[in-house]
Amino acid sequence: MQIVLNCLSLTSFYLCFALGLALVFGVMRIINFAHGEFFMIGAYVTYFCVATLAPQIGGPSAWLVGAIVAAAVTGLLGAVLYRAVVVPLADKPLAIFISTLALSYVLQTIVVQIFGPVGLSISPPLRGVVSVGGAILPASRVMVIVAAAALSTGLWIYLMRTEPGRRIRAVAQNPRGALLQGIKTRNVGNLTLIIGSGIAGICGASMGPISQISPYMGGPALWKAFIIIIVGGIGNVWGAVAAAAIFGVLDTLMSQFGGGRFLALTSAAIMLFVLSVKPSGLFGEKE
Amino acid sequence: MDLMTRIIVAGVFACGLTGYASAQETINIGVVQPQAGECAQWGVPITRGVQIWAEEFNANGGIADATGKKHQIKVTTYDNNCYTAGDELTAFRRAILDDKVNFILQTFTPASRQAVAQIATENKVLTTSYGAGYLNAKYPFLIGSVTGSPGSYMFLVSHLLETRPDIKKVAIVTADHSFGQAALAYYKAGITPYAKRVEIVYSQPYDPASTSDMLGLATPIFASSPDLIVELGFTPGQQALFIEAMEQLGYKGLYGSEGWTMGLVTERIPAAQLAGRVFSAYVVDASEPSFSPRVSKFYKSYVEKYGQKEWSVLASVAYAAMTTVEAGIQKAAAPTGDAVRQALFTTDTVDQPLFGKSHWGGAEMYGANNWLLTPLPVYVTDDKGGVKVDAVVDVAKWWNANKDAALPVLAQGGQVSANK
Amino acid sequence: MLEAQDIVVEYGGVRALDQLSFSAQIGDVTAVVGSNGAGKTTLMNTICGLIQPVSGEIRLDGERIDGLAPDEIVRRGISLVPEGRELFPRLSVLENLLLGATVRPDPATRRTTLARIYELFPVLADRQSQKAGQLSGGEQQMLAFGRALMSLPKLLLLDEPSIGLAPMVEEQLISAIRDYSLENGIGVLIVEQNAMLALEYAQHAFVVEQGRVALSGPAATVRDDPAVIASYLG
Repeated sequence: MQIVLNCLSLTSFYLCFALGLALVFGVMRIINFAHGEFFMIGAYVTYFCVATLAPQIGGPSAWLVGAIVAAAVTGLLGAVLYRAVVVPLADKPLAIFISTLALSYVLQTIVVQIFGPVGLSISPPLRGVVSVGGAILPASRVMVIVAAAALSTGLWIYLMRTEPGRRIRAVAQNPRGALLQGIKTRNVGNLTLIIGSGIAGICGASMGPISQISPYMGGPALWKAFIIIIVGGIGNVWGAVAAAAIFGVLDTLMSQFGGGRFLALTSAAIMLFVLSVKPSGLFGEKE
Repeated sequence: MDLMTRIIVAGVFACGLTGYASAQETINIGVVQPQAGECAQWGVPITRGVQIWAEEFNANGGIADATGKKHQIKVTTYDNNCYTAGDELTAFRRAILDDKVNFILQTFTPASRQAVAQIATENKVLTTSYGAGYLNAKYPFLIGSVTGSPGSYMFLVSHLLETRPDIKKVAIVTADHSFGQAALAYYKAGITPYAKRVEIVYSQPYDPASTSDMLGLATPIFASSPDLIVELGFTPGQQALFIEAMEQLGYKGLYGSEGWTMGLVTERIPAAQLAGRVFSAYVVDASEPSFSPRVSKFYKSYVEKYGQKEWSVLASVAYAAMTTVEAGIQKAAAPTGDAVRQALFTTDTVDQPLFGKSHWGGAEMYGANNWLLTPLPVYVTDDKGGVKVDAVVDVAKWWNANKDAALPVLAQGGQVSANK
Repeated sequence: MLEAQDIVVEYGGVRALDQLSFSAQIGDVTAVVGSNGAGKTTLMNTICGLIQPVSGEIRLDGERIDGLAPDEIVRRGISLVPEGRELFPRLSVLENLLLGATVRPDPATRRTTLARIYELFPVLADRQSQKAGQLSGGEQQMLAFGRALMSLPKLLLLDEPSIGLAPMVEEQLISAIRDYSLENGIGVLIVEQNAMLALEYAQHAFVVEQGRVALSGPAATVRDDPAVIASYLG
């Protein structure tokens, strides 16, 4: 039973990381290397809010404020990235990739300058443990599961049931066709990057209290997220959800049964295998 | 005085001053540690420990050698991004060839020590560390100043088993990198003499990347129902998350590691719940006042200078390592690497300023007695998140009594280089 | 009326349109005839704002539209059915149609336009929840027409609408769209490989050669021109 809960918990971590990246990558076909740093900044913004506000308004409210500010800050960063990098460098994917890589280092350095290189810890807004059939789930993890579920459902509803969401999907499938329908593809791109980056920020806010936060936490998270969206199928947000679940279960079982040190290796091997057998990913549509 | 005269007088005065300064030889000490990046969380406090040690002397006119002459100490830092051997050698080249340092404090990481052994020895730069890591008879200028890592892991776990006979099951939680592998071998070596009554129930190394899911890591450890968990490889924040996960799962046993950052732990788990259950032993923990008034004073000046939040036990570890060099300088006729080395090795013991009489050891493992076996204080947490001394382990005595059992385990774990 | 005057378009220094001028009446069908590479598709893309002319002016009902963003041009009433259709293959038929109405947000207008398009192409109503990529070639072309009509254009640009269709289907579709346009006062500017077909349905026509208008006039006149017969209808 504990294993089932651990699977659920890890899946929600992975989903949380991968969701925003899958959206941006799927719609705009650009690799935002700074996505991991947006996640990191979300965690630091939350740290700052909790550290300054918790004594006055209490841990949970301070965390909530932190999450909202985190989403706003990272959303804004997404908008800046769009204006400053994606628009001027449109049609030069490599240049965009390099620029976002540079941005990721800049953001890392800024955070090191403000908060120092040493990892910090966000004091958990919710303490205590939920017991389910003899197994336990810490309340702070329930929070991540709820956040990941809410983000995915919210994104699903937004994309599938609203007009701006429909436009996003149209641009993802055929940007030129979308332009001819009178869709402002630039605005859609901007919106997508804001949403994707905002999700990274909220993810940082919810993951922060259960992991150590450091200026370098973005890299490993991004690496796993890449593996997930490649295995899930580039451009398919729902494939990413499925891949997150696959890795959540697989990695939990491996840690449980003594394969913990081979996690990075197996993830990379699975990715290479999927790329060679089905390059569009397990759930990807053929281009 | 006309302007010309003033200039001449000023010039003469300036020359005189410089001349005076150079008559008093400055001791150049290099610290090779990560200064930026993720590993700086270890490197920065270590560097500060050395700097405060130097400042204490400099404030009193310098450190006196055996002739009574006082020397100012200049500490220069060299960055090694995260204890990689190649970076270590580059840093040593700059320190030794460009800046002419006399002494260097470096990491105990074996690969990094090996990489610089030759250049340090050829240039007679006394190179020390807070532990042995790697030593060799061919490289007499490579020494271990204090018991330190990784030896302390063995002495910590053996101390706990010896003093707490109700411990029957031990879980060893180490990262799957060279650090962690060394710790695993030393923990096993410390358990082996008690193999009749103690069982190792968990010893799977973990992938450092998987630490984002602490609950996943903790679940199988909890399932092995240990009475004692010894850890190495977590960052301070991860340690806190690990204890949190274990406590949430319902673990009631003991924890051991080289050090714990209790501030981070008590943010998650009440100190009272952990009182008497969390043990550490590295070299010395200056935040504990009773062991030595001198390190306690050092702790106060550190906290005054950098703040309570920036405190790390590693600062006191580096400070303690420098006090062995200090003992050598005070016994040497001149503050050169060569003279200090000779002064330290005139007898097989050193009157260590913090730990008292300590034996040179290490021959069985490294083929050279270049490791100073300083007595090891073991600390245990109290109900306020502070630490108190549980015992001071006479490590040389334990080693002599148990080396026959422990050595083969260390050899098996790849930690013995004496016969290679 | 759509008027283009002396428009020049260059690709990397090479002139694709060289001071091209023409006009097309709203409510009429105007055919553009020309060989491959003469500049017909470039002309269509320039009118839609996908390509910016180096010089010259394009006016719709007297107002300049060159230099406007593509979405503004759609809003002003020009809609292109591009070569290759450019549908959204993994969206449903209905979603494709609704996206065509991006610049007409009023729900009531959308509902009536949709009803009229379903009336024109009943098969689209039957398939409205199917993915566009699963339709047959003819159905996809209907969807492309329908999607363009959802923006309530004054002028419909058709770029090679017959490509990949069986001749029977091709004739049916083009006559359907022509009839609908004439009934609703929509102008049509059609570029067709199959010049005979285009000229048959058009009132006016002009011939583009090497980026210039070589000949223009009533469709019947153009159709009977010996040079046109030799080059495009033979």
